[in-house]
Amino acid sequence: MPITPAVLAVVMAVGALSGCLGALLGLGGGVFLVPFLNVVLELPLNVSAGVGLMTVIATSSVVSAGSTGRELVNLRLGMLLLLASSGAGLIGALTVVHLPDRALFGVFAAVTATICAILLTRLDRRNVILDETAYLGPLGGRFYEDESGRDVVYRTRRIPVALCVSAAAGYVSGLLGIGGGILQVPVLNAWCGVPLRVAAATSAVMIGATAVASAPLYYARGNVSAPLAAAAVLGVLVGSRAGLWFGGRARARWLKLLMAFVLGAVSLTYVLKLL
Amino acid sequence: MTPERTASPMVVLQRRLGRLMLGAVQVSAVLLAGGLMMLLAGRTELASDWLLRTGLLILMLTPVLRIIEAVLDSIRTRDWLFIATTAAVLLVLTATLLLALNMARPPNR
Repeated sequence: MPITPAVLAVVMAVGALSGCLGALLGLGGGVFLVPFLNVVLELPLNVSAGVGLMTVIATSSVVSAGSTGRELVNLRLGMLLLLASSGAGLIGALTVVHLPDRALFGVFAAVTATICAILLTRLDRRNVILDETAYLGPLGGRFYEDESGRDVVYRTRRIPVALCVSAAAGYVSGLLGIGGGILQVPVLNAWCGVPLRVAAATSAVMIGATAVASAPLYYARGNVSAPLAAAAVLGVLVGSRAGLWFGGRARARWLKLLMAFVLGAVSLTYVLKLL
Repeated sequence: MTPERTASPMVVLQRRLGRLMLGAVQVSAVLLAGGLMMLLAGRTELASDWLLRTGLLILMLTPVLRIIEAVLDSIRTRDWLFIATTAAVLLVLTATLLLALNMARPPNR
């Protein structure tokens, strides 16, 4: 596809929207940008994924820097899960060349539909413990929660589940370039006792490093279009800041509904591509 | 966060990391914007390519800064689980970079 100023402008605009949604939901912008590049601009999936990984790294870097002051990132938990996701991300980037596009479309549709369903059935789960003296376990944490106007604590449960899902998320990130947050955030929140804002902030730190376990391989194979990646990254950098601003003002329930809606739309897009 | 609370060493480290990462992202953004402008202005392809590639490489290295800092902090606090996990993550990322260097080719245009 020829790289024209119009194409670059469109990619930058979609990158900004993806960055905003990605920062708002802790997912990385890739889950929104990759389908756009692949379905609308008709770029090959591996090139779309390569650009997507770059935007995930950009979103992660901006969001990590912004959320650190709010004590939301659970770095200890994040590093443990990152071990699983980065290793799987590397395997994903190595195996993607052996999989047909239709298999990747199927993975895309299945993953997004599953997470959409999990979110819709767990909309009201807050996971916070108002008793500050409660035992937090080795991977729990505390933070100031705007909704209750006080410090709250949480305990991370089902660590093996979190590790398995992180590995799956890393593999999917390496295959599709969408960032592992699409799986990690809902599962950490719904099944592992982590509040949504903590899951999103911790995931935002992890998805960048997970993407780094795959992105250099895409780059080395020549699957990263430098001008398109630059346009998308610049858009994402602007959009991520907007997402952080909205994120501090939106209610958790509405964030979950928005995430479910977006995932449902992405899933439907790839089901239609498979038909 | 309540304003009167004294920041813990971990929070101070995270803030410092945040500034460092943000700085790297800003340098990368300037290089990418410069590369795109040169490309659109029809200037030398070599210069725009160099700016775009360098911008993307700096971007890819940005999250590694965080892992390196986490390794150092885990050593400082002698948290053995944290030391093992962060060091293992760093090994995975190093393996990726070595594999990529082994198969390196210029990016598509």
